[in-house]
Amino acid sequence: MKMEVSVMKRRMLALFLGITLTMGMVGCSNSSNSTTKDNLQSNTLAGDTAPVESPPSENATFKNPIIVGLANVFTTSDPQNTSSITNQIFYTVSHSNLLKWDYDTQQYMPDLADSYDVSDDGMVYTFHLNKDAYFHNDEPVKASDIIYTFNRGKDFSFVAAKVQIIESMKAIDDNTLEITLSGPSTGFLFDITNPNMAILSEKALTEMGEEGTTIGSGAYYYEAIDFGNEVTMVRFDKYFKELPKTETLIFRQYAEDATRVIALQTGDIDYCQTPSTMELEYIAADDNLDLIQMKGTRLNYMVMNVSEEHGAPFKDIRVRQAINMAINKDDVAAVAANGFGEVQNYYFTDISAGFYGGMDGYNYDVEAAKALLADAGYADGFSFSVLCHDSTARAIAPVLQAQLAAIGVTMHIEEVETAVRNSMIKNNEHDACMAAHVSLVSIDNNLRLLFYTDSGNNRMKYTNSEFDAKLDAALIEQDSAKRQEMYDELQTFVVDEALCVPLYVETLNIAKKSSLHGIKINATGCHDFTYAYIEE
Amino acid sequence: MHRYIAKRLLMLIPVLICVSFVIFFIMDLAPGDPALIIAGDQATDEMIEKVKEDYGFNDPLLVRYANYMKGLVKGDLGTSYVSKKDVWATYCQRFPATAKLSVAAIVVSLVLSLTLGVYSAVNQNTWKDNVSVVLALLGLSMPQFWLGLLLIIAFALNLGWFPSGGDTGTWKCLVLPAITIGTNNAALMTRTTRSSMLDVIRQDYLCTARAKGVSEKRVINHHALRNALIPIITIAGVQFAYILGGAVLVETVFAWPGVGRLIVDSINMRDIPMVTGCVVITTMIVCVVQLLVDILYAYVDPRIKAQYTK
Repeated sequence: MKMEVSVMKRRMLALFLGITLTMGMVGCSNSSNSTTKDNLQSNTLAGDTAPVESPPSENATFKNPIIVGLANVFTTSDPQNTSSITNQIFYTVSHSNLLKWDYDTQQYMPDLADSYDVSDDGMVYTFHLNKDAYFHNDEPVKASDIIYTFNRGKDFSFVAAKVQIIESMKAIDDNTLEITLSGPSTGFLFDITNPNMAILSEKALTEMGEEGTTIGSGAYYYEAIDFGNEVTMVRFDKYFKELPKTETLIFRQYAEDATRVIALQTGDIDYCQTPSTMELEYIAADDNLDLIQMKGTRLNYMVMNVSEEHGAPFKDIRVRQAINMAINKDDVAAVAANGFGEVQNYYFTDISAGFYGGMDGYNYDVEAAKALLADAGYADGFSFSVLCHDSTARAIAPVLQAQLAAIGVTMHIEEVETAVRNSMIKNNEHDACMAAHVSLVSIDNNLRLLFYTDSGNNRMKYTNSEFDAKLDAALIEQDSAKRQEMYDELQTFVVDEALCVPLYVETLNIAKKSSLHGIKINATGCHDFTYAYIEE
Repeated sequence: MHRYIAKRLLMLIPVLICVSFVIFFIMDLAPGDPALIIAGDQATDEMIEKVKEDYGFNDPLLVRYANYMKGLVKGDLGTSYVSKKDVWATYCQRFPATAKLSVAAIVVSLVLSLTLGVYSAVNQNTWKDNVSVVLALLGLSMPQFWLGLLLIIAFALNLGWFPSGGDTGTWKCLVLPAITIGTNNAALMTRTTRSSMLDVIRQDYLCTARAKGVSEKRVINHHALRNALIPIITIAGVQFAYILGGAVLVETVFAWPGVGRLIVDSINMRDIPMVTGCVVITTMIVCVVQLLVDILYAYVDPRIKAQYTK
């Protein structure tokens, strides 16, 4: 009975935390446009310190090491060469950016740049760098390193799109950098906070080659890397901000969900990344563990290939609308996410500054779906294949298959590896595919990534020059109210076009020892472990 | 003997050429464009084309294979497309964990199978024999990942005797994965031991030994078991080589940093140099282990040693 009460208390606390965080984000995102605008013109930044979740006592000693159990594999030390959230967790600890984005306050925070100035035309940014910042090879961080990093990024797809707006860069002196854009951009500052834009050491890369990507200016340096298994990071004593309390962080991959949770229960690890929803009740029932749940930012959706080259049936908007209306998303979330998902009729989440949630989308209505199909000339239905590349996709697809059968549409599930799926999509060889999108900080980035012509994640192969032009116009619009209006219109437009079937946003589950504090939790899943500690 | 060993080592060369070509060919046939993986899914066509040019993906298969073999001859197994790390260095980082686990697992297998197999043969057609056979069947039919999870729940979670996973550098972390692999392997070896012992146990020379007053324990352990060892060594050698190639399921369940997971992860990421390099090294190891097994025959059975000498 006592345990039940304790479990209930924990669940209530988790729910309260989740609601508080989500509400906070919603509240911030509604006003984020003006906040963003203010910051764009501001040259002062609020200080960045360790989270004060539960301050340790003065003479406290701290557990060493802290071991983080990861579900996914760490594949590269090069921040410019990946968009994986798991990889990015490492870069938040090992590297620094010019600025950071604080998801809680929806504000820019200082990182390598203490402050910055923006010219009146919004095209010239001058960053003033922290003079105490050093790389892990004991070299000071200089303006030239930032120029080198951004130039290097032009060869990497994840960075190229972010630096293409930069026309020129000039090191005024070692600690002052001037960046001139080819046009005003409201997305530039967002972009430089992305872990892909972490600053690398020119000297390290010149002397060490690719190995030099391990050299950052973050709070921890890499002591040992075993890709796909374990990474050991040690506190960098010349870190330019407050030093972490924990000396060593170990990140270890536990690919098997059950083992990862058991490792947390036995104390072999201190933090468990994305525990399986099947295991949550055990975590909640354990007095030594905390289960934190919050709305995540990862939307699962089904993509329909709407390109002219691919042809019928999805180039017809009525067919796409019918597919959208034939899906009961509650059932999908209940089956595929064991109920830990929030159904959604649009593509992005309120974590994105500029998010608009006012559109209706398409609700479940089988009869209306049938009528639309008949109207489009598919009264007897049609068949198509959907590519499924991971466990989530494989869990969702059978539910969609059964629901679409109700309107006479036959969906063939084609299970393929990620590499095969990506090749097929790139070559426009797919009818449809399952996909997931983690909402980015900027709504512009989200819209651009998913719907802009020829964008890497435009798996629908959607081409609309009018949409592209409007998105480009919004990016350079300096009037925040007008810009928001443009983004609202664009978000409504892509939902109305029914290019995909948005399904549900996964609940973000976090399991950790109750004694573990100081993690900066982030709805994207890219948590910051810089100031993680356990008081002994 | 030395000539035999030299001959066997020379035979490695054509084996490695064949294996490397087959794996190179298979990876080339496999769907999924490695250039797209390297460039990232947000890459433009120009970026992908540049990667193809830089990595030589536009060259014909045979040209690429020849280039790979040129490197291999110089001891260069290439660089991972994904981590950009040297393949040999990455393999060497993982191999100690695999080697440790393989040795521990084969020790568990041998202890279990020799004990059960001999006991079963000595007590043929009794309930003791039946129990041993059932135990062997149980070990054989139990999926490794399931047994692994059961052991973790029992001995890590509930009793807290052993760590739940990972290679923490202590002997304790080896126990559960070694038992998981060892139990499964022991099942087959138990049956082999039993049948091999039954072949030997009624031989005339054992009756002679008994008639001379040699104790039953010495008859079984010294005279019978030694003569029954050849098939057991053969099976043990094959299984040892198999585990050295990587026990993917057990490595996954126990978060064990072995070669198996490295190969599977690399296949999923179409990391051709890593897959080819790992397979080539594993082939070499398997061949060397088989050679060692053949040499071991000579020490166990003097008649075979005599054949080598001829």
